[in-house]
Amino acid sequence: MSNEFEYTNSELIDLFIDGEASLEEKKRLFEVLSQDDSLVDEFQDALSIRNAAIKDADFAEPPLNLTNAIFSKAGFATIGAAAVGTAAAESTSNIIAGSASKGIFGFLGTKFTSLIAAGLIGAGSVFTYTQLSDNNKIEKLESEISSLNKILFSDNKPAYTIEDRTNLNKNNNQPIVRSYASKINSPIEDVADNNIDNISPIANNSFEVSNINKVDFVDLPLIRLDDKRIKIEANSNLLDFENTISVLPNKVHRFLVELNGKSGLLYLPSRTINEDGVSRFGNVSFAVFYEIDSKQFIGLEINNEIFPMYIKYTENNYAHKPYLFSAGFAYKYDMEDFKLLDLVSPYFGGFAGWSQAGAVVKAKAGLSWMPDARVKFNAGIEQTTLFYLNNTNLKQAGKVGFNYGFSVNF
Amino acid sequence: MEKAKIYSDLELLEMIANDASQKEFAFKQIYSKYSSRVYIYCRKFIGENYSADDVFQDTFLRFLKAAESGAIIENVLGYLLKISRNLCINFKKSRKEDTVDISEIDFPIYDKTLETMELANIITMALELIPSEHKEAFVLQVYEGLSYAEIAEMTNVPLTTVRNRVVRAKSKLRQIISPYLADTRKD
Repeated sequence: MSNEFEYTNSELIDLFIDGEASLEEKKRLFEVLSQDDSLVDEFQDALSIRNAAIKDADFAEPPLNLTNAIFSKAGFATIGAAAVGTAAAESTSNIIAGSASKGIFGFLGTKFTSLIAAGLIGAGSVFTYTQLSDNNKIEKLESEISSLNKILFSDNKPAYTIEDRTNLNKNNNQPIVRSYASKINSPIEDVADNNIDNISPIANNSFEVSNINKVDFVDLPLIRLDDKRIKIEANSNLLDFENTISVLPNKVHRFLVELNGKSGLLYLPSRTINEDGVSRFGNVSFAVFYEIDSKQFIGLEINNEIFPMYIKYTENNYAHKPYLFSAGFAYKYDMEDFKLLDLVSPYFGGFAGWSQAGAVVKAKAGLSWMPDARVKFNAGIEQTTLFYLNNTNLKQAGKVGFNYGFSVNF
Repeated sequence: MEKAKIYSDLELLEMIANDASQKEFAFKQIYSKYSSRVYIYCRKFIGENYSADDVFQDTFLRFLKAAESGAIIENVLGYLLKISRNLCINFKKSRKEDTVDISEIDFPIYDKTLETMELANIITMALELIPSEHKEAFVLQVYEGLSYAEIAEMTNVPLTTVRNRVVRAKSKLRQIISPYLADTRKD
């Protein structure tokens, strides 16, 4: 090596440990080691660092959500936790739909307000429930993620830790994530508490399930699917499962007040509007909605809009009315989850009401933008149809126009 | 449970390129075999943050794309590390970051007894204090277990440069960590 003597004694230690020192360098190192105790310490330090780093590398494993993100982007099925480092392909087989039996539902029904139990995969059967009173608890759930599978599913650690988190939940308002799983080919154990013994192993399981062990999975990684669902996954040669938990928020009664302006584009039959006497603020609607769920709203709406017509008061006595005033029920469906350009989401709505001239029906569609949690701006198109009687004949007139405004929720 | 046949990397690459029904299986096999190695490389080279995860993710997606298109890959790990390295370097360029001052690192206070994992954490933090090229050489040599010659080939620099970088990295690390190690020696 051309520059072998450029290295300091300290650096020679590393060359030696790495197996890259030349014979000459080794000789030099041994010589100085025999004379310098501080260098011996340094040698020890170098070994400690190397060993710690190698051990660190042994434990390095991409987290499950990252693995699944890759598989998902590649268009492949996602997998359970422990499979990553061992046998990924096996984990995707044997998908069995499962659900908790009436035993667990009975138990949960009396004890918890929210219940979600669900599907699972593979070698074992799993029953999971959770109680979450609001979406914020997801954060707490996520904060509970820890190193898990190596401990829980390790082959040489058959004794699972059992921890009852019910009290923790009561006292500390912590969420519960808890599962009951079967383990393959091991002696039957007592699972009598909490009615879990009523649960039968999943039928049609291709594996022999000879017992049910109680396992607390609080440490399993929780994958946030969206604001309201968390997925828990794990597997090993002992146990595979996948479970999606939906978080049910506390029901909060919310109202939405919406104010819209309008402008007419097209009138059917065709009309020429005489703007004289038409108020600039004559084209408005006001609605109060009740939120059925995060996407659906139902409410009362009043509209005052330009709709040129004559209203018959008595025989041969018609009065020109530039406005149509209507009131009725409205429905709105907001596709909050579907974002266009990551900014706006589509909405659809309908209205059925009554005016001085007859029944009014509306259909609306447009885009809404929600700059914060309370305020939403919307713009779209609205079709209004008026049904009226003319000499006992039912006739209709229509209007297509823009609809734009904002809403505030409370 | 039926024991799975073990396929060579070459067979798995062949499946990805030419057998749509086996592509997923093959990719997952390769992932399960090499993900840890690539992951530690990204984490140590970029640091313990989400960007490392992004690079890791991109690495495997790019690898899949290359394998699908039938790219000739003789050494899968080497290929993965090369992709990862390029991405890491691009990331670092975009961040224009190099080393940070020791005062910026918040070393946790440990008990006198340094457990191995605590030491591993200190090493990770200390790595942030050494120049990027030295850090990379250290990561490839220690965490990836590559020889100096393999590192030289991968990073496309002369062997003597690799030698210098590795020993300087280690020497510097030792210098940074020595107060902690001295404490353990006293115990």
